[in-house]
Amino acid sequence: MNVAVAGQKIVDTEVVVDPAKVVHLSEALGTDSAPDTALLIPFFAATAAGQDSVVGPLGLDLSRALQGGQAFEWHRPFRVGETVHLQVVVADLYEKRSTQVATVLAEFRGADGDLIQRQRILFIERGEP
Amino acid sequence: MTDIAPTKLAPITRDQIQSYAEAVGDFNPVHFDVDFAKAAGLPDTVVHGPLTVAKITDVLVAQLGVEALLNIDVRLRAPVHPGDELTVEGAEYGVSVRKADGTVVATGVVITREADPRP
Repeated sequence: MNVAVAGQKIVDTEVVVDPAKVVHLSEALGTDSAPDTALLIPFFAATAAGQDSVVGPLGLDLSRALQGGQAFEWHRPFRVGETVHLQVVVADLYEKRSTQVATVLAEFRGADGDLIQRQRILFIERGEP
Repeated sequence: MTDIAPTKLAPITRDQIQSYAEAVGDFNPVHFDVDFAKAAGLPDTVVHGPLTVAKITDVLVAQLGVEALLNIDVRLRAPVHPGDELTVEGAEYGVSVRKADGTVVATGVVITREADPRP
């Protein structure tokens, strides 16, 4: 990983809650409650997805990286079609033996600045064999 | 203890993994390419970790309701592969998810709005 991004904001942008993406999330869950759940688990979050915005700056090697955990703090569900402001910060990045660990924080706010949710994501990258 | 009835999930299919990838834009070959996964030392492709978290969240939504949920903090402890049968159940600290062979793949702390200790 790129230790130079520790403590830095790596994403500061606006994104639209795309109805098609919400449908894909529902399909991935495949339950009666999926349409509600899909509005809690944003597709544009700081997961190992969004390779341009998170994987790139973090310098993750996807052949050795995994997600070790994820936390959500919900204030309200997303609304289909709304524009939200997303900020992602690399809160911590350290190496323990040959493994690197990064904690990434993501915060989503609505158009009027209201907090929608926060996420904390733990990325782990094993050392090269 | 989180009041969650044990819930056996339908095995995650490769189609669902594809849907999730299309939703989040994560087409890491470890989720699709068996040879790539094996080269990384895995027996098969792996389910996106956040999809497992989403599955846990979905069980909570189904049983507690969207409005009840304030916070979850999930630790992913073992890889999940397509076809794995997972069971989500309540635990003292929140929820636990295990495979049919007993392997715990995730544990999560759950805080509902009702139980929120903050003033």
